[in-house]
Amino acid sequence: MESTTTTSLKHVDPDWYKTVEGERIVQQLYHPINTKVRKHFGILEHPNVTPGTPEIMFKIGVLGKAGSGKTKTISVLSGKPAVFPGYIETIGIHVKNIYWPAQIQAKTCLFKLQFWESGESCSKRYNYISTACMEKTDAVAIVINRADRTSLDYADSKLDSLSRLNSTVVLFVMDTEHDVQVHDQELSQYARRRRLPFFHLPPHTLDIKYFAPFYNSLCDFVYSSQHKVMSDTL
Amino acid sequence: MWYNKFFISNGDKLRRCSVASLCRGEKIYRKICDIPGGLSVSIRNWINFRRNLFWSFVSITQKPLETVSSLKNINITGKCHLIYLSLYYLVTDLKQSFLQLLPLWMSYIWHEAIESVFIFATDSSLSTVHLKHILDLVSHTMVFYLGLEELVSVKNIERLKKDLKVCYPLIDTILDGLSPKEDLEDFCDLTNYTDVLCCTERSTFEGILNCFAESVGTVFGCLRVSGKVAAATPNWWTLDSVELLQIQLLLSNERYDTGIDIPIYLPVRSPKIPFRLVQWKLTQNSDVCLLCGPTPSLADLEKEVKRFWRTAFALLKSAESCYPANIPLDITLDKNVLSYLVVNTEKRRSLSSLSPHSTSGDAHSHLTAVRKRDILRTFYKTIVGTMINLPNSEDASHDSKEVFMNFEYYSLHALISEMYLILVLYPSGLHNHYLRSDNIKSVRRTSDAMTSICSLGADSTPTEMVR
Repeated sequence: MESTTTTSLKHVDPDWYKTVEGERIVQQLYHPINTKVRKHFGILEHPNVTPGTPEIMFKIGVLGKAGSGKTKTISVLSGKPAVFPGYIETIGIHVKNIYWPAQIQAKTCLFKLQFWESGESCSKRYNYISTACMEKTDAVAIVINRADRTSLDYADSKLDSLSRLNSTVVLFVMDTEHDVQVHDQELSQYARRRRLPFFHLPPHTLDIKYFAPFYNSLCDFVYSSQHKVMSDTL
Repeated sequence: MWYNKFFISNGDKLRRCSVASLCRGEKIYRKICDIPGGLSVSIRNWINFRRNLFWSFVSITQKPLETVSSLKNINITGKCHLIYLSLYYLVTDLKQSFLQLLPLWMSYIWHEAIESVFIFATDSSLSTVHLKHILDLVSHTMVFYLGLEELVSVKNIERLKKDLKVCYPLIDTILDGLSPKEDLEDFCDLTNYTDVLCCTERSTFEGILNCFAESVGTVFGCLRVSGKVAAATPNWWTLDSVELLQIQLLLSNERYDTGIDIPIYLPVRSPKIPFRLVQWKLTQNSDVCLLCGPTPSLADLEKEVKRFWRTAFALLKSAESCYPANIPLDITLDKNVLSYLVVNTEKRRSLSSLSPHSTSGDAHSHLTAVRKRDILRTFYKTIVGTMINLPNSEDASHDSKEVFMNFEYYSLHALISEMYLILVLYPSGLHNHYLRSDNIKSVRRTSDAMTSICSLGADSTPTEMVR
């Protein structure tokens, strides 16, 4: 299966996290006693890195058809334990900061990905919600659920309005084990036609070998498209 | 209010006495209707009440599953349904069915097809007080998310059922309180009072919080450390207990998010106009929570939060070290106190700890924190409302002020003192006589010390503690 996660990266060193320094910083993302648990940092703190390390912040708005798995996507990415079984509509806005250390041009930096997510029907009821989620985003991620064809149609309908706003758009592909409705070929054709990169969600929330490539390529893509300056140092 | 139309009672009592005595509280004229144990599903009896209305009475004891499925098909002939189902099953198997049925009952009430819904439970470990509290909470939850208007002017019941799904996680949390999960440490769902954490930095936090709240244009704000309120604005405490509880339960479900902005209604204070419940996580274990109007936006609030709280980072870390004893580190409790729960009924706050000796360790480690929590919860459920009344309770049927219970591996002591209820778990081996004579002083002194902390209004922290 081919996706952007396997193509070469423009800025981010894909294997840096395996080095001694990389490992040391990645370890800061985990709970010191129980290494199977990810830390959930507050806004006044950040992983313990060498002073002077630049922090690059991206606001990423998460969109998707109601029930396509936006909340699950964020849970998977943040290493959160299993959520409520069965589908429950999300109420209001949920923001999640996720840190990822990477090396760009031989310089270590810390990416802070701030995911903004809201439930579809709640956003319709309260206008302010979608405004807040989509305001000043660095990228918009649309969740495609492979078990639901209509999530592609939703992406189509959203893309037109997003292109008018000049947003950087990526697709998050949520894989499914059975009842695949969106096949690989169709997905890559769609992405090529729409000129969108797509990222397969890591199948395991805690195993670094799965989510490191995901974060590396996501950070690389958003970084290249935004040309963010590494200004804020920690 | 419509949600006052829920009445509940304990099934065991029901079997022993009569429906009529259950209705005594409602001062309804009654005709005796005795119900022997072990009924099958049937419409048992007609009860003629004061207003000469015929109330159909359905009672089900043996087959709760069939009951719930059959309830949907009941032909309403009277003005009220008495629905008797086992809350025990409700918690385990029938939770979903219960949730499915609730809107149906609500719609009957709203359309005045029936006047009241009676739910009787057979779990004998729960007394009426606690059951009523749970049902109150469940019905308030619907207002909390959807607003009263939406519920009262219901046009399409199927639509409402769909909308009500958003309440499920919170209702689940409430019902889970009956058989709590491992990670639940708080007692708020049981006591109906806010769980607090007592730290010496409180007054500094209150100062920052008041300035912060004022600058963002709200009067409702609180700072939580380890999920417990460490400081709050004066207006925060004017919210109704049920509102504070629902906010606390909601936030406990969202504890992995960095920031949230959720539109909610306040079931008592503002059931028709929504507020925004905003929370930003400051550190891994502390967060600041506000109730705001339409502005400022969540992103603007993040900037303000950083501006006001950055300087308090070291203080926050120091307050976090109070956990899990939940009292300042320089206060050491009697070694024999394995865990405690202090409830201030006047200020509606509760202070508790499952591991009160965080630094020196627990001498009686055969009881795990979860076990201690279950013991305390069961103790609370067993005695409150049946053996002793909370200090501000209207019901004055029990006048005892103290309860001792001795078991093979532990002893329990409950004490009512002024506006406080104090529950303490001790190891076994402390003889009852010892507890009553020699130890009673130390118990009282422990309690006194803890009560003054729990008031969260005392300017000085008491230094004199037991041993």
